[in-house]
Amino acid sequence: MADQTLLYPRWLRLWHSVNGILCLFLMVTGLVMQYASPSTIVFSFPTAITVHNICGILLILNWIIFIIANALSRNGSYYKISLKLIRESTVQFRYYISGMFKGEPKPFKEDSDRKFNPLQQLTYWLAMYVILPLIVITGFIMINIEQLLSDEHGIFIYQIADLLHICAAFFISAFMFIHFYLAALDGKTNFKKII
Amino acid sequence: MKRNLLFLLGIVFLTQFSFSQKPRNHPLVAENGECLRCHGQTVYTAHSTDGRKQTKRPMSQACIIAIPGYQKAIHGSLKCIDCHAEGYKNTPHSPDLQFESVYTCTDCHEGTKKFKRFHLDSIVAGYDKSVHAKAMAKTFSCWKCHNPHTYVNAFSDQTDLKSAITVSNAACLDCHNNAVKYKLLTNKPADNLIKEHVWLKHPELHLKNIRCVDCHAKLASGTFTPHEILPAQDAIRKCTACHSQNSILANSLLKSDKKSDLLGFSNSKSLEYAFIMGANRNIWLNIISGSLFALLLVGLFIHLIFTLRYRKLHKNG
Repeated sequence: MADQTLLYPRWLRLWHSVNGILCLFLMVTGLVMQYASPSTIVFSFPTAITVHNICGILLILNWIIFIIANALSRNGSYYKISLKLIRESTVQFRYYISGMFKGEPKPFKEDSDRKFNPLQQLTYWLAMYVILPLIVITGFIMINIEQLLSDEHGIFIYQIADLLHICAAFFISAFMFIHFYLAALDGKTNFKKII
Repeated sequence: MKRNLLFLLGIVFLTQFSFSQKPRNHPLVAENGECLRCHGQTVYTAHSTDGRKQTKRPMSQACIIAIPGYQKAIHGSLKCIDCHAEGYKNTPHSPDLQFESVYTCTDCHEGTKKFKRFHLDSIVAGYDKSVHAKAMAKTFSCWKCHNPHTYVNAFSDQTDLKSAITVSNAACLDCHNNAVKYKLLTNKPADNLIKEHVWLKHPELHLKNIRCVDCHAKLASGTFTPHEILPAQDAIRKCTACHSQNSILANSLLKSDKKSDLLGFSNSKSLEYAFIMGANRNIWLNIISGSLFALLLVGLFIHLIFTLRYRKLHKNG
């Protein structure tokens, strides 16, 4: 059993909690904005925009902290991908959909060299290095709507950014559901490690 | 994603051809030459009654007719004296002519088959209830907003929706953004439009991209442009009135023949120049994302059932 305090240092747990809370707020306010209706009760439309913009900027800062901290610590080494990882991910996926119901042992053990199982490693890499940057960049483009709409081609850039932003938000939201579900499968252990 | 991009490109392609009206340009009416010799210039020449003396004078700004603007205007084919008193043929004009009664739109257009589609009766009924009619019954008329010498139909004469909005709003801004003209009608201080609209998230963006009347007027049935201008405090202040699928703009500014909506975007007419959050949704994207999410939840639920079942069996034996 690897040393949990080394695998999940205090800064990482704090970063993860902030990231989770921000994503949750962004998801709810994003839904209020996308499916705006006079009968919305969670947030009013203008409040949702303000909260979404603030949380979005905080998410960018939190992401920058994550990138810097990963570069300065060992944590970055857990987010490497390779073709081998994709093959191993299929083994892990097979375990989740059938092996675990047959009493098979977990195909990959957690240790100081492998903090995540291959499927986690692949999806976390996708979430943090592909989808999150995409959502952050498109969100940042959309904040500058005044400048964009005064430019001849700006509206086209805005519309493309909006569609990409919504698609990326969908994948992040789906990821959060699966992430929470799989973490909950192991009972309180996983939550204790990261919170 | 490629499919969505194609949707968007399709929308842009369609909307590029939704306005194809060729700009109107009437030839100059010969009978108007005598009037425009002075009124078409910024400077005119005044002659003494015996004709011996002459002097150049600046033409009053309110009396200048910009000739290119008049040729492009709906009324550009009319003779000046079709609307103005015959007395104007004499120079210098009698001061009494300043008090000539002016025609309203309905004096000429009411009851004609050609104008039936504009529902002038609804427009007049709306105007009669408007804050303009109530507060300035004696001084206000159609022409205060629709300058007869430059008037063009914002929506059938413009090449795109954004230009149509600019033309439509110019009628309001001509007074509400012009301290001198505003003072001609009211003793109230002139509006500071940005300050008045600062409660909106992006005031300038809203002022440029929707018509003033979309929030400040009540739409009468059958009409496209509302004329019942409301008192400022009664204007729409709820964002979701426009930022929702059932946007109020769907029945006025964004009223469409539904052809472009076939690509799946609601209120798609606005995609030509904007993207209205909450109002521009794509039904296909909603169906795909909703179905995928439902599948995900069902998948996780089935997985949970199997997990609990396995754990129960494992625990028991």
